[in-house]
Parts: sequence; structure tokens; C-alpha cells
Amino acid sequence: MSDDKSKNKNGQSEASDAEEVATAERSRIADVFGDKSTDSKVVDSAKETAKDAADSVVETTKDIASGAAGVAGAALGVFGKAKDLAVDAKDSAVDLAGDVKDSAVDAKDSAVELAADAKDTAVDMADDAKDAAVHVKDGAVAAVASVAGGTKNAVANVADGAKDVADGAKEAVADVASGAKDAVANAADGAKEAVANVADGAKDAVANVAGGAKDVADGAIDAVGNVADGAKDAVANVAGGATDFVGRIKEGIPAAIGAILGVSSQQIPTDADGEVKGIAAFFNHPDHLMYAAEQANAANFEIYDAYSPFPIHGMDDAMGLERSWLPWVTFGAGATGFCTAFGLQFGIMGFDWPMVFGGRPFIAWPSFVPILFELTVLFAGVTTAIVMLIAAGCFRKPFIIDKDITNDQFVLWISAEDKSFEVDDVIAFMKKLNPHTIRAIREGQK
Amino acid sequence: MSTAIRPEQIGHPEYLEHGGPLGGPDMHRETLVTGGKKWADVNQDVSCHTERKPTKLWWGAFLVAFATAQLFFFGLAAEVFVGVGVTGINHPVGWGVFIINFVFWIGIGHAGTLISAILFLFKQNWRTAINRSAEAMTVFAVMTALVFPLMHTGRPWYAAYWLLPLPNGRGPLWVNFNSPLLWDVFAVSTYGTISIVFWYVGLVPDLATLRDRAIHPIRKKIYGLLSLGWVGKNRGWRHYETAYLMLAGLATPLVLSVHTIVSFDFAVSVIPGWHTTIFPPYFVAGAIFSGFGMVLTLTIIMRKVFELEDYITVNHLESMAKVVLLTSFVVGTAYITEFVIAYYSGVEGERFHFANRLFGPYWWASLIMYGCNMVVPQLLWFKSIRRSIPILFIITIFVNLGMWFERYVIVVTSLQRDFLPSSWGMYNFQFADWALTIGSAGFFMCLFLIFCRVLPTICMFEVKAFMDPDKSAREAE
Repeated sequence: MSDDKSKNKNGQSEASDAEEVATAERSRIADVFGDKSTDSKVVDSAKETAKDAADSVVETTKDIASGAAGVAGAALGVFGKAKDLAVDAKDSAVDLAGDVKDSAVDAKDSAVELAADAKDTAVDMADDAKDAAVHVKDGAVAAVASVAGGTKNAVANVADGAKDVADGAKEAVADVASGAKDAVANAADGAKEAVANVADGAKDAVANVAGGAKDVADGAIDAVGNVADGAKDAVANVAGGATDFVGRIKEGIPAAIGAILGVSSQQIPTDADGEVKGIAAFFNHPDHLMYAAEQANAANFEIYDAYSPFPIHGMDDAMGLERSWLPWVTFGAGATGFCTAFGLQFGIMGFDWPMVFGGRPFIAWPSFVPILFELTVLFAGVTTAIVMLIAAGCFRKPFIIDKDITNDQFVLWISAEDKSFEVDDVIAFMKKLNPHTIRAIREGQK
Repeated sequence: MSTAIRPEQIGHPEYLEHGGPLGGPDMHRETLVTGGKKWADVNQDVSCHTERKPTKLWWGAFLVAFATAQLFFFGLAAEVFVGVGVTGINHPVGWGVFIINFVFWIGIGHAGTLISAILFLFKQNWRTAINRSAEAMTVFAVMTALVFPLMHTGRPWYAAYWLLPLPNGRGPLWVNFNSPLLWDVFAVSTYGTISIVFWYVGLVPDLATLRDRAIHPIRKKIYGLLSLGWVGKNRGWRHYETAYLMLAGLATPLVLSVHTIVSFDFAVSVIPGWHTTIFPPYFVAGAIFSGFGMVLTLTIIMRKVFELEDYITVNHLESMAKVVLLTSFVVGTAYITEFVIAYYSGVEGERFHFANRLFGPYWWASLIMYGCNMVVPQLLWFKSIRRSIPILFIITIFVNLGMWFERYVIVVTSLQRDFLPSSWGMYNFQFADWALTIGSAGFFMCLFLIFCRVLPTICMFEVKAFMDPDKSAREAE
């Protein structure tokens, strides 16, 4: 599977891969990290900006419309602009939401229902904003997983391709460029949708204000809902588009994850007696582990390892390991077997007790070929197996980090014997990799 | 899909009638592991059978196999305490039951190595579901096979001096390295050793899985020792994978050499019907043919009894059926070539031998041989038959039977009437022959049933490496 990914040069399927990973990760992340979002911040900012934008609904709408036109014009080359536009759309939407809400409140001060409704809608919007934040993070996690999938080259191509779209570079990066193009188009569409939604919502809201206080309250609810949806779409599109720019995002992402989610939900047991033998980060997917191993290698750890239930293709490269030297053992043992058979047959038949069989020469070498072959294979095979097991650390009491490593867990292990090992540093490093669990393994711990 | 699923649609989630490039159906195979399994499900589904008490079905099968195995031990005991004369072998048929069964069981083993080594080199990922049981079958088949030549010596306790180049008090008088029978000793013992090594290397990570799942301390201890301290770190996996590749590269020519050398036992002689250059490829193809027949027989039963239908799917069975069809074709071609060359050579002895095969006293054995090996497998040209498990099972029984009779025909008809009509004779199965033949199947089945109980019948880590839970989750949506 990882093989497929590393060979994948197609930007679109890259994006869809990333989305799949995001889908898979989404539910887990929701479980793990819970409501760590910035509800109150969004609500506050919505309220603040609402006051500022009270008079300028129509103007804002026009601005957004023209901004969307600009985005459509620049869509082929400038993803960043699309992203900004989407964010602008979101901000404006939020502004409008606050505005409409304020008008509603002003229109009918005495309506307690209205206040409650407005509050509810604000909460809804906050939830949606939270979802949107989760989307951003999902995209980010997806990006991380894609990077982990060994897609370094593909990612570089995506970045190059995105930059070169304007120039019309159409070689190996053509697919990637079109993927980026699509993503930009999606972002622009999302922005347009958001603008349309904002405009509709604003219209409804104004009409409702004119129609009556009760209607205004209803309109406010609709408008806020629409605005929230629009904002969500825009942010989701930005998140989706972001997966194409994994190369750029790669550096900022782990920090962003930390900032958005906080890391307090990761469990790090601190109560134990023995020496720390090392720290283990647990992952659910081989590609995620491969990314983690790559990072550990890049961070110049030396005594670390990647534990998995099955061999992962590309992991040797990720960990910076060279090809196994085992074929030399096979060759040496095979040569030994060949020489043994050679000595045995030629020595016995030619020198120790030469006998005539069927009038043939003492040393009838074609007869010796089968046994030459068989002993070569016998020596080579048995030696290879034994040396392999020794090289793999067998024949001693195993140090089992977790029972589920032979089941479905993927673990990055950094040993305390590493020369740059500091518990806090290693934990901080691992947090950036976004594992589902980090655990310090201590002496004598089961 | 509104209409009922037809047999040829099983295992093809995307099936479009007349959608193919040549007007036939356009179909796409399902994933290797079906049922939307996750990695943890593999562990549970495969290991659970080793962790609970055996079912009644298993006990029933084991008791039958064990009782049959007693026949084997009885036959061996009779041979040791009375002599090889208790069997029907005599002049001129001196090879009889021992060599028939030896060649048969060695041949059975070939499919296991083919699946684990050659299909590995060809990157046939479907092999992952069946290679463990096929390799186990190889090991047990070679163990069963080795009994026969040892017992055929008449005094197996002296056999070490006769068969191996050991220093001894007679000169030392060594073994004869010019003899194909000695090559056989080295070939079969190497094959047995490498098969065990290959099998065990594949088992180590799965034994570690059983160790980590074990709750009872004694069980944990046993599997802990057997797993040799395997922990699954990548610095181990990288050597492991290289070693597996090396072993596969070594086992591939080995498996071809073994039956080649077995065929030399016959081909190096001057007996009509044996003295042909076609024997090595003919024997190797026959070995793979009979081996796949036996693998199919065993896996069809195993997947049912141990509920492994999601891992050994109809697609797996169909792939094996295709190998059976191909090798049946190779074997059939060899049969026909033998007749043509015997006629074309103009050698009277050869011509007579092949006429004797068809019309001599053992015509019925030849009929079973040609019928089961050439005619019956032709049914596998039909996709619906390849995908019909009951019919496939019956065909594999025919294949097993036919290949046993091939060895019977080769060994017996050549010896009973050779160049010298004055020394012609007959070979009739006595009770001891039947006991050894049927009993060896019981002995083999005993070993296989015990294997199914104590070791994972599917190579869990390899299945996990090649399954795609992400993809099957997507398809489920």
C-alpha cells in the first residue's frame, strides 16, 4: 500500500488519498481531542466584528462579489489568494452574522425569545466554526499522513507544479498541477458559494427586519445558519485545498496541530519508579509511523526503532537504514557448502578409496553436480535463517513494549540509550508527530 | 443487483454483463481479504482456533486419521519384525509400495514450496492466505515420504551407514556418489531441512503474536520459546525480509531439483518406460500438479472447518485450480510424448512397454492415471466449475488418486515386464501394502490436524501486509 503511494505522482489521487486518510482519522481525532476548540473566541470575535459592520452589509456583499471575481480570474495560479479569499469570505460572513443578529436585537429589545434564539444561533455557529477548525486540522493530519506515505517526491512535484501552473509547465508535474488547479477552483467555488449564501442571508435578514420583529428574529436565525454553513464550506475547501500543498504545510503543521488542539489529551504517565528505558509513541497506521520514523531520523536520533505487526515497505529508507548485509552471509555459506561437497566427493571418489563403477573415470564429475548443488543450498539456507534471527535480535529475552505491536499497533520507540535522549525533549518531539498515545516505558514495567 | 448472483459472479463485486473488451463480462476481483476485515480481525480469526478447545468435527477427523495412522505403524512394525516380504514386492517388482508412496508424498510436498518460494518471487500476493498450510503440508509430506525409502532398506537402523558418507569400520568404504539413489538422499534431506527452515522462519512472527495473545503462563512460556524472542522492530524486519527473499531464491531451484533427482532414480536406469530424458520436467510438473491437488483438498476443508472463508476466498481456489489445469496440461503432454517417442524410437522394448501399459494386466491402473490426470481436469476450463467448491473438491480427489496411480503405473508396469520375458512377473498388493499406503495418508492427516490446532493456519503477518483495510472500508461505504 505504501508502495502505491510512493509511486503515485498524480496530484488528484494524492488529494483523494489525503481525504481518505482524513476521513479515517476524523472520528478518532474527534474522540481523542474532544471539545478543545475555541468556541468562545469565535463567538466573541463574531460579536465584535458585528458592531463594526452593522451599516455596510450591501457594500460588503459587493466587495465579496468582486473579490470572488478576482479569485476566479486568478484561480489558475494563485492558490494562496483563493485561500485568503475563502478566509475573507468567512470573516465577512461572520461579520454579517453579527450584524444581522444585532439588528434583530435592536429591532425588538423586549423579545426574550429573540435573545434566546440569537444565542442559540451563535452557539450553532460556534459549533460549526469548531467543526471547521477540526476540518483544518483533519486536512493537516491528512497532509502529515500523506507525507508519511513516502510521497516526498510527489509532494515536491505538487509544490513545484503549483508554482509553475502559471507558466504552463506540462511535464511530470502536469497531473499534479491539474490537481492543484482543481483544488483552487474548488476553493473559488466555495468562496462564491459563501458569498452567495452571505448575500442571500443578508437579503433575507433585511427583508425580515423590515417585515417585523418576529420575522427579523427568524431571518436572523436563517441568516446566521447560512453564514455559518458558508463559513464552514469555505474553511473546508481551504482545508481540502491545503492537502495539495503538503510540502508547504509540512513544516507548520505539527505546530498548528499543537496550537489548535492542545496536547493535554495525550497520556504520559509520570508515576513510576524505575529508570525510563525509552519512550514509545503509538500510531494506528503504517504510513503515519513511516512519517514519524522519517522525522526521528531527521532529528538525528540514533537508537530508535519502528515496531510494526508486519514489515512496512519503504521503512528502511524512512529510517535511513542501508540494505541488509544478509546476502553476503548467504553467499559465503553457499560457497562453504559448495566447497564441502566438492571436497567430500572428489576426496572420497578420487583419493580416499577410488573405485571403478561401470568402467568410468574415478572422478566422474558430472555425477557430483547434484550434491554440489544440494549442499550449497543446504548450507546457505540454514545459515541465512540462523544469522537472520540473530541479527534481528532473537535468541534472548524479548523486550516487549506493548502486546498489540504484534496485533495492530505501530510504535515509534526512542531508547534512553540514545545520546541526545532527554525525556521532556523526546516527549515534545513526539507530540509534534500527533500519535494517539505517548508512553514512557520504565524498568520493570509490564 | 436485482437478479440472483450467479456462480461466476461470486468474488467479483463489480460485474458487468457484456462489458468486456471482447463482448464478455467485465469483472473486477474483490480484495484479497473480504468481509471488511481490519488488522486486528486477522489475529482474532486465525488465532482463536488455537486458543479454544477443539470442536467435535476436529475430534472426529482426528480420531479417523489417528485410527488410520495405526495401520501405518502396524505395516511398519510388520516390516521390521517379519521383513520386507510381508509386502507384495518380490522379483521382478522390487520397488513396489515403498517407492510408489515415496514419490507420491515427495511430489505432494512440491506445491508448498512452489507457493511459498516461486509464487513469492512472482509476487503473487494471493499466496499469503495459503502458504502457511501449504508449507506445513510440505513438511509433513516429506516426513511421511522419508519413512518409505528408510523402511525399504529393510534394516533402517543400519540405513545411516548406507545412505550417508559416514566414516566406518570397513575401510572406510564410502557411499557411491555416482548413484542417483545417493543424490536422492541429499536432495530429499536438503529439501526437508530447507522446507522446515522456510516454514519456521515464516512462523516466527506469528508465534510472537500467539505469545502476546496468550493468557495462561504455560502457554505464554511455550509460545515465547518458540517465537525465539521476536519483537517486530524494523531493524529485525529488514533482515527478515532479505532472508525470506534469499530463502525463496534458494528454494526455487531446490524444488525443481528434488523431483528432477527423484526422476533420475528411474531415468538413469535402462528399463523401458523409465529411460527417458523427459522424466525430470515431467516429474516436476506432476509433482506440482499433485501438490496443488492436495493443497486444494486441504484448504477447501480447512476454510470451512475453521471459518476462514474471508481469507481463503473463491478467488484463491480458482487461482489454484488454474495451476492444476496448467500442470495437468504439461503432464498430459508428457504422457502423449512418451507414446510418440516410444513409437518413433523404433526400440522394441519401449514400444512393447507402452502397449503393455494400455493393454497389459495393469490396464486399469493406466486408465485411472490417464483419466484422472488428463481428462477430468479438463473440466477446469469452465469458470463456473473452477468457482464451484463442491465440484472442485471432487476434481481434486480425482487428481490425488490419479497421481498416486501415475506412480503405481511407472513403478510397477516397467518392472513387471522388461526386456527378458522369462523373468516377467506380477505385483499384487498384500495387506501390508494397503496398510502402508492408506496408513501413510492417516499419518499425514494426523500431523496436519495437529498443526491446525496448535499453529496459526494462515500467515497472519503476511496477510496483514497485503490486505488493505482502508480500501475495504471504502468499498463497504
